[in-house]
Amino acid sequence: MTLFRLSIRAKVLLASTVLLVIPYVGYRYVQEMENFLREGLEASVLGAAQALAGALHDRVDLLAQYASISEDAAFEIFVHPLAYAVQVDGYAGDWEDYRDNFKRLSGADDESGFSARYLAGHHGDYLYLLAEVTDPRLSYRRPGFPRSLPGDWIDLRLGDDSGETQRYRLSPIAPGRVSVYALKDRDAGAPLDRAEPRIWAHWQPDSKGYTVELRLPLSLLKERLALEIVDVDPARARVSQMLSTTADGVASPGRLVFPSPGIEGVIRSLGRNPGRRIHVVDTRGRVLASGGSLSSQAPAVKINPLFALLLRPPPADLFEHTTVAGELSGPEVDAALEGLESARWKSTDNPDVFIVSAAYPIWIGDKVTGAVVVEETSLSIQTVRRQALADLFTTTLIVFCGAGLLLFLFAGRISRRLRRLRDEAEGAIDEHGRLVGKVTGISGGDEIGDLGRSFSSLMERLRQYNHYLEQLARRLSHELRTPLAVIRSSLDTLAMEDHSSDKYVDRAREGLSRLDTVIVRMSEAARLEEAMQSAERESFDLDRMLGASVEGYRQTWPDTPMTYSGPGEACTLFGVPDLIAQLLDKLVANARDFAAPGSVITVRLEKTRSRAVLEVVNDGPPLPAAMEGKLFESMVSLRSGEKSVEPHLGLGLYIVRLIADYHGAKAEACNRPGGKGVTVRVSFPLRSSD
Amino acid sequence: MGRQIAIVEDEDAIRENYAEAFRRQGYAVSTYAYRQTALNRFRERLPDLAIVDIGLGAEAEGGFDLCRDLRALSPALPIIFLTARDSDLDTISGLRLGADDYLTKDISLSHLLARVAALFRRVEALRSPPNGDSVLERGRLSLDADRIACAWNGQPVALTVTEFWIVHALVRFPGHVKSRDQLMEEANVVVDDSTITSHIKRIRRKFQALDTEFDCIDTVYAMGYRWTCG
Repeated sequence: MTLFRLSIRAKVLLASTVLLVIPYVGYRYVQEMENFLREGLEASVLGAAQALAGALHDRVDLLAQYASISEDAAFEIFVHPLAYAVQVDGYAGDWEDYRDNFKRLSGADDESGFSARYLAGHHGDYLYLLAEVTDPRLSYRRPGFPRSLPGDWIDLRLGDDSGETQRYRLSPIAPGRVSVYALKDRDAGAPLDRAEPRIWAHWQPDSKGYTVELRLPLSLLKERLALEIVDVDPARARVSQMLSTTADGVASPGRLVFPSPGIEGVIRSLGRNPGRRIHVVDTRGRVLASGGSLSSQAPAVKINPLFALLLRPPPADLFEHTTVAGELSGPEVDAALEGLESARWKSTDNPDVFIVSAAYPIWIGDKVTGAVVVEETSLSIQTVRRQALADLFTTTLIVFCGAGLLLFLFAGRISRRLRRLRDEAEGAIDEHGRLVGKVTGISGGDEIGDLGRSFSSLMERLRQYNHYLEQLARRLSHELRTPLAVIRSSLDTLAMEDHSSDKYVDRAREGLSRLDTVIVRMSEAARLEEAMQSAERESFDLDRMLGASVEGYRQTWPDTPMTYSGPGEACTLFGVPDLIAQLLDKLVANARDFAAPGSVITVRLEKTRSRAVLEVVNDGPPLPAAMEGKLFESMVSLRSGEKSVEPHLGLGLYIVRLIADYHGAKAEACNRPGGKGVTVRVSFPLRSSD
Repeated sequence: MGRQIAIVEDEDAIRENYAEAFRRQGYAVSTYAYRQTALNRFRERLPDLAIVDIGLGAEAEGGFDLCRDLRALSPALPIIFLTARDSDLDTISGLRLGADDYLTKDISLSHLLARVAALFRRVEALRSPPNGDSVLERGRLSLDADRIACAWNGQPVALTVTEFWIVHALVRFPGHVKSRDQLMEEANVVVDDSTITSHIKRIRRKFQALDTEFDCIDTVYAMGYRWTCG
């Protein structure tokens, strides 16, 4: 029982799914390659960091200023390099990139809620300052009266290393552009008479307090700068609180720390590195110099458009990473500042793209004075990966299609050959097991060809064996005749000579006669075949013949009731009447043997447009189910072993079949409905002209 | 009767049995196991009747050759063919070797003796002038039982002894159906039904060779045959 039938083609296609391993392996390979490339990138970036660090190694001249910052490090003002000129409008939106780098002014206390933080940056020729102040109570100066109530103010102190300082004051009358005055002292009531037009300031209140943006030319600066922010209590007309970048506004201003152009020069001298961004940081992680930029776009690569559908599109403009800010931090930077080289992979907005950041320490003597941090995106790797995957995809597609087609054709061919062989083999034997066809030698030097040839020789041997078997009966009967003749002639002689043993002679003769009948029966089929070969066909009326025959049977066997019912019209058959008579003899003899005693045997002829159907029906035991198809084979008998008058070889229905086949008719035997008897039916084709 | 019968048969037991039976009847019998021996002897002296087995020794059709040679030596000599294969009957008939009868070996001795007697009677009858008593006439058919001669429309029909007896049985009571068993009895032969059928077929063919319209032998299915003319 086949639960689920798969043709050879389906099986081959199923087996060929193993080809799916190819793209999988390819993909894994691409991944491996990607990892390898990443490692390479990391090494390269680290190498670049190392190279630059080496160039800066022991460069006391460039790095010394940063080495000794530690004493008043708390007061120093680090001026971040700005990427663009800030718009001085009192809104801190321009400073978004640098939010991480705000520094708080000291002197705040939690009770009053007054606090501030600042940021300093430079771009071009200017220094920019941003101060965000949280002040719950704003007050403005009343203009006009030099000694009237002051409002909140901000002081800027520019100084140099020798100790000289110049104080500038911002005292707004109203939000917006504010004039900056140079002052001699720091009193609240100091006259504001010397404006400093070179310093621009903008004051904007906001929800928390106010924001101030300042711009002053770098040329105004010396080495030091400090910021003081003062809150005035208008009710009492006095200063309530002061915040400062230095402690209590007392000490000299903190040093201005700029990124070093010298270091930038060194960076530049190392050559251009497209796609790579270099920072040199000091021991605090503050960027001293930068160079290069990360590539933001992957180089365009032409790939299979089909593949492009499947994959994510290449990353568009990479968002310039936020570490344009003044300080770098991260495990790799920290490690480098400890003296260990290290690298780190950072993710970006695009899930496919990473940034590798390698840091290498800069030594002066045996002290770490800074680190070189080099960053590069993995866009190039992405590109290569995409390319590789695209190629893999294309190759796989081609291989699959090609292999699939090839396998399909091949399987189809094999399947076709096998099917042809199967059909021929099935057609070679009819339902009775006789050889009717040939299996033509299937050409082909492979196993299928061998199979075909095996079939052929099998058929041949089968045919020969069948032939032998068919001849067996005839040969046996022939072989037996001579000894029988010997016995008979001897018995005859004995009978004539000596009458005392007549009884025995008679018994012997009777036995001989039965033997004779057996031989006759055995060769009957063979003789029938010979007779059929030489018989001449004629047109005769089957109806009349059947009627006459049944009449004859009635006279021969008067104690067996028989009826005949015909179609009522002539039924002309083209065949050999003697053979039909023989066929009927056999059927009737069979019916007589099996009929229940006294029951009627019915012979019936029905005529349709294309067939004449002869039926012989008898009452009696039904056919066993197992035998129904096999009755018409030779040597098959239903009779039990009881003694019968005539020896029974089971050839009767076989002869019926032979004669039926000769006339192109179909013979079948089935139980009557109700299981009370048997109908044997022979259906003859009628010629269309009849 | 002093007649000389030659039996050519390679099976010893059969040959001797037949020989003894014939001798008991008073015939003189000479027996031969080999064709060549028989032929040599025949060349010197012909027998009065020959019984020849078809398959002699190694030659499957040695008997045919012997018959041809014998016929060449004597056109009128009665020859009876014996064969183990009843399929040969048609062959022999087709060959028209001029045998007077062909029988299967399972024929009983008494039937064989009856034939031999009939053939000798015929030889006698042919030597003497025709005797009307034994002639039976039915329409275009005329049968002479002594001469075992049959004529249709005046033309002779070469029937074997067996065939003659069958026709004779049918014609004696025209219109009566004779069953196969009855025909067998009349023909002094015990065979199965299909052999009778073959005989009838051959008889019909012999008549039809002379007269294509011949259909005086009617097959009555399941019962037998009858003669319908005259």
